[in-house]
Amino acid sequence: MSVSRRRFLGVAACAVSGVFAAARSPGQSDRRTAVRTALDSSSAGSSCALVDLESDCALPESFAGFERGLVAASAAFEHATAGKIPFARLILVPGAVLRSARTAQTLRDLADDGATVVYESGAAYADSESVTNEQRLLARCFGLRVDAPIDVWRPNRGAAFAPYVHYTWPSSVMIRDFSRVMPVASQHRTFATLGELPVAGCIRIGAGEFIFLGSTLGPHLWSGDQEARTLLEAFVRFPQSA
Amino acid sequence: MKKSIGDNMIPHGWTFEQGLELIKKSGYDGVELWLGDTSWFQMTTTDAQVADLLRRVQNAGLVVSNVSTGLHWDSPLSARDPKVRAHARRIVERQLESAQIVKADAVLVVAGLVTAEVPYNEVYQRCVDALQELGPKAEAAKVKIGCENCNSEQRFLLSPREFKTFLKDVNQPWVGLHLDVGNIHDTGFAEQWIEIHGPDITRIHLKDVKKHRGRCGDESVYTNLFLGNNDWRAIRAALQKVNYDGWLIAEMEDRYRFAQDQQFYDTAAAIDRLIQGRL
Repeated sequence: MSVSRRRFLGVAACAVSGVFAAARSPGQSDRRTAVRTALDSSSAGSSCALVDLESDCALPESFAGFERGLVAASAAFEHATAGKIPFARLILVPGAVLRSARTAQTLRDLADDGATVVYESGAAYADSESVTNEQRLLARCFGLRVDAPIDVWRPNRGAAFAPYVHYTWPSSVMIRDFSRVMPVASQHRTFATLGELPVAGCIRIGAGEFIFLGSTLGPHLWSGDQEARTLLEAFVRFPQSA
Repeated sequence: MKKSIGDNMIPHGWTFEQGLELIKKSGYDGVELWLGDTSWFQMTTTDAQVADLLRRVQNAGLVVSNVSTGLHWDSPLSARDPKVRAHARRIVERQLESAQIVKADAVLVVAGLVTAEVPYNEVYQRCVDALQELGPKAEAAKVKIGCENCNSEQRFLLSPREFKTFLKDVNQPWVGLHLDVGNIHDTGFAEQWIEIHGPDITRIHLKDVKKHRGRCGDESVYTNLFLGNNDWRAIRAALQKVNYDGWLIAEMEDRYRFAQDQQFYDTAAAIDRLIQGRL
C-alpha cells in the first residue's frame, strides 16, 4: 500500500506529541515541530536540497555562494533543479525569480509536507514584468505580500539606511545590503530589517515553512562574509534542532 | 623602448587622420586606441571598420601599441548586477578581438571598482573570477590583458604587493599589470611597483602627479611629465633593472588650454629624454 507523504504526515501529526524547546521560527507552534520530527524519524527526504532554477535564477553568483557556504559548513546537501525538487528538511532556492506557477506550487507542496523552504528572491535584478509575476505568485501560493524592489543606493536616498540588514532569526547577525531589496509587508512574521524596512519574512505553510529573503544573502556567502555564513549555518541547523 | 600616445588625446574636432598625422609628426612610434572614447572606435564598430582603422594607422607610418578602454568605469567587472558584469566581460572580449585585428598584443582593463556600495571583498573575488575566465581567451588571442593600477580612483589593489597577490590568485599567464606611473599618488612609488612586477608589466602609462593636490580638489592631480612629484631618474633606473623594453604610452589628463597639439610635441620630447637618460 502506498501512502502519500501528506497523508502520512497528517496521521503522524495526530500521533506525535512531545516537548520541543530548540530554535523555532518566529511564532512557530509545537504542532509543526512535532510533525517534522515524525517525518524525520521516517527517514523521508534528505537534510538539505540546493535548487538551481537555472534560467529562473537571476543571480548565479548567489547560487554559487550558497553552495560555497554549505561546503564551508560541512553540511550534507544535494543539488536539485526546478523540474525535480526532492523533499528535504531544508530547501534552499537562491537568487530566484518566481516565473512559473508550477515551480511555485511545487515549493508550496514541499512546505506543506514539512519542508522549510528558504526562498531568496533575485527578482530585484530581473525585469519589472518578472517582479510583478513573482509578487502575484507569492501572494497566490503563499499568501505573502512583497513590495516592489527598492534600490537602496539610489543617488538621492540620503542617509535613509546604514547599509546593513539586521537579522534577528535564526541567528542575530548584520549583513550588508545587496543594493536592491524586496520589502516584505509588515503584517507578516518578519525577522530582518534594513533600517525600518522589513526585508525577510516567514509564512507557515501546512507542516512546513516558507521563508522569504528579500535581501540577497548568496553573494555575501560567495565573497566569504562570516556573518552570512553564520546565518546559513543557523538555517541548516534550524530544522534539525527544532 | 617605444613611444605611444592615446587617440583620445587627439584634439576635439580633429579627424582620426589629422590626429595620426600629428602623432607621427611629433615623434611617436605608435598610437593607443581607446575603445569607447572616440567616435571612430565604439563597441558597435565592426571588424571591417576596425581593420580600416589599422589601415589608416599604417598609412600614417604608425602601429597600434595597445587597445585600452574607459568603459569599465561605468560597467565594471565587479558590478553586483550580473547583466552589467556580462557587458563588462563583453567589453574585454571586444578589446581582445580588436587587438588581434589591429595587430596589437596587449589591452588595458580597469579591473574593479570599490565603492561605498560594492565592498572590497566582493570586488576582489569578482575580478579574480572574471579574469580567470578571460585569461584563456587572451591566451587564445595571443593578447595580454593588462590590469591597470588605478589606485585612488578604484580604491582597489593599493600596494604593489597586494597587486602581486591578486595576479597570483588570478593565476593566468596572459593577465598582467598595465602600470600607470602617475596613478600611484602618495600611496607608494612607481619605481617600487616596477621592481616588484618586472616581467608581469604589459605596458606603461606615463604621466606625472602632483601628490599634494589630492583627488578631492578641483584641480587635476595629474600633470605633464617632469612637472610633478614622480622621481623619473628612479623610474628609469627601475625600468633598466627589470629590462623593460616595451611601450611607454603618454596619458595626460590635463590638456593644454591653448595650442593643444603642442602637448604632443612636448610630451614626446620628454619621453625621449626619459629613454635617453637625459634627466
